[in-house]
Amino acid sequence: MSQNLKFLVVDDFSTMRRIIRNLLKELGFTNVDEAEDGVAGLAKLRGGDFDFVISDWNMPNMTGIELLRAIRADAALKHLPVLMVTAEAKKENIIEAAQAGASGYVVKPFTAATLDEKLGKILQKQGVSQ
Amino acid sequence: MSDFGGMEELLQDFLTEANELLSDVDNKLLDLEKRPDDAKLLNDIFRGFHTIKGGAGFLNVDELVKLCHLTESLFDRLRNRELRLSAELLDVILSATMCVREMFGALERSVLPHPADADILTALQNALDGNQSAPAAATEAAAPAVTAAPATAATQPTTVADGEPDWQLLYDGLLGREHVAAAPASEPGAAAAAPVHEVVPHREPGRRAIDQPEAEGARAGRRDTDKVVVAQETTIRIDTNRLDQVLNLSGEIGLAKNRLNCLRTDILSGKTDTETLRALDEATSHLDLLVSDLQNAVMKTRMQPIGRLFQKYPRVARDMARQLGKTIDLVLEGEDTELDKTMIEELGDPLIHLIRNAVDHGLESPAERRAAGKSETAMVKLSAQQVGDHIRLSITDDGRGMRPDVLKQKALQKGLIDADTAANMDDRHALQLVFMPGFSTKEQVSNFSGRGVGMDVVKTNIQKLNGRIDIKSVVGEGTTFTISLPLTLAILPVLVVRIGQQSFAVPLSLVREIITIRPDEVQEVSGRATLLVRDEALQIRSLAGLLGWRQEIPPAYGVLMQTTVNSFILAVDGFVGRDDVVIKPLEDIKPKGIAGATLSGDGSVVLVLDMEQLLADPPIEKRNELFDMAA
Repeated sequence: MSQNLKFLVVDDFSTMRRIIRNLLKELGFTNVDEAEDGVAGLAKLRGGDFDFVISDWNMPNMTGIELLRAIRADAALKHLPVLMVTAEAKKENIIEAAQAGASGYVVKPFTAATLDEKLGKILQKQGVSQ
Repeated sequence: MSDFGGMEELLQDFLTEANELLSDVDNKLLDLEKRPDDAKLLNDIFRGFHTIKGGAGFLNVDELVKLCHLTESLFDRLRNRELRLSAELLDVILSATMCVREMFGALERSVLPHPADADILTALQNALDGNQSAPAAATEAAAPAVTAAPATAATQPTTVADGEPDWQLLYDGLLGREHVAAAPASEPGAAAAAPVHEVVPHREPGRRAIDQPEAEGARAGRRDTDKVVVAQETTIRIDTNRLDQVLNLSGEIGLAKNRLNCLRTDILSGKTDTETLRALDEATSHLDLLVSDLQNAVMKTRMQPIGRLFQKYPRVARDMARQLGKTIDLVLEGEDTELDKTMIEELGDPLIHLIRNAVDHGLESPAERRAAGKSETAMVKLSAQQVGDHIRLSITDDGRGMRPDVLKQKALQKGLIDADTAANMDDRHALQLVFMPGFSTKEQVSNFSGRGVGMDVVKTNIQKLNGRIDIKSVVGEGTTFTISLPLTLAILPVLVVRIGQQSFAVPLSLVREIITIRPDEVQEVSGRATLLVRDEALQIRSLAGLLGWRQEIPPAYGVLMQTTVNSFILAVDGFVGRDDVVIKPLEDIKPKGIAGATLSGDGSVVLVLDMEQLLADPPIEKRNELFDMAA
């Protein structure tokens, strides 16, 4: 798997961004940037060449699902894999995420192993892995 | 193996951030009391609990996850208009946030928190079930509430087994074929009606197997070793822009240093032409500028908005007022005002005490307020603003005000002052009586700060911060306590004066002006050397005398000092100038009236004066002792 993928972690809770960053580091991904909500996330995505987005669901200003829709609606970004992070496995959430075009879905709390598995699946599907 | 080995540090970050979130939630809850239908408030509070829960999950703090989850679910139903907020429900929620705070307290001591009070959990669960009539849901719901801790373990395997793989399958299905989505989505309200608490997997199946040994180990360790106390607030969050500025400046200082090195080589090898010297002069001034910029920038990294402190108080004030049967509105102003982090921490207790004092003593009961033609809801305002190089905090209430005669009476009764003093005391000084040790009547132990402190302690604490506290009060209209503080404790602006060859630094905040003393203008009033400055008779006190030294030559200069109590002229031999100094405390020795030492530009030691200590027991100096020596 390509270890120099550039990640964007979007979460309004900085502790959570740090947790995800640490988990990614554990998996060998060190090229990680952060954004504190959907608005900041979208701005960063438009400004830099990111390969992967991991976004929280519940955020002020612009929620994760709104960010996902914005990414899918943007010609330059719509190919990006987006992994949605959420605290519950609620049926309507999963349906909403899937319909909006999420590449995957992970429930908090999760381990590096779980994250690895989710990333692996998504990257495989995307054909990004080498 | 994992970065979770650095759990303590993560825990710290979590606590710092979660504490802020919780304070914010607390304040929004108070707003909610006034506007129970505000959708944005409901949503924000929901998100607050949700976020705390998410973080707690990663830290394996199951009890916190459970409590936050229940509360969050409640807010989910509230914001979806499935439940209505009643006064009782708000009380339950407020006690839940109190409980969350207690859990944070345990985490701060690196101890896993106890389960939440069963009553609170039951109350939350009952509220959550309020509109659910299905008996199955009710019994299922009652279980976790009664047998708090084991319940999680018992229900967990089933939820994980029932829930998680199911969702994953569904999700994979949805991703594969769009049309699958149509079926579940069209189930009218099915998803929404499913009890939320049933489907929360606390962990994914993989987690136990992989992380168990380490997680359990870490947990056992944390529980046993109470000595691993996490010192709270040893970390600080800094705007990256400010750090960048520091980095930038230190880089530029590096360049300036290189330039100076070059010039030194030139000069040492005998190159001392005008050009070189001018370059040296320029480089030194440039370095001067950069260093003071750097000092400012570093100081700024310690500055925090006082709002972080303020936001804890509306809840404290409300709880306090409720206990006393009063209703109040705590108004906050100037939350963006920035103050040194240490000072913000040190201000916590004094401010709580002042607020408590205002609510308890300052404000009348609703009946009294009505009788006085005031609105029943009293107002307490907490404000902060920067005034020049000072920060001014004020606590204002619109209560009954303080009556100087009553205060004097009380001080008399307690034997703090005698009848003569009382009779001669003006109103302004009478108000100051509340700061006398032993004046406070009720030495009650506070629910909020944990210990009962008197107003004298408030004053002492403020003075330790080089600050001042003043009172203004109008009977029937209210009282204002004003606290002035320097911006930072790190750098102290001083006036450097001289006695003989020794330099002393006087805090500039106390200096009103500098005058020349002409011995023939000095008079003697009631046995004390006195000088008339613009019709104001000011006593002269020589610095030498205050220090217990002998005045060798008649002092030529006077510093007009203004303290909280009085004004006087500090007589010295000469001036060096004004300076910004960093005080180094003296180790092991503690000379009277000396706060510490600092180095002057030429490398000599300057002693920084502690004026308050110095003035504690001033000698009486006659005119001739100071000015008529045979020199």
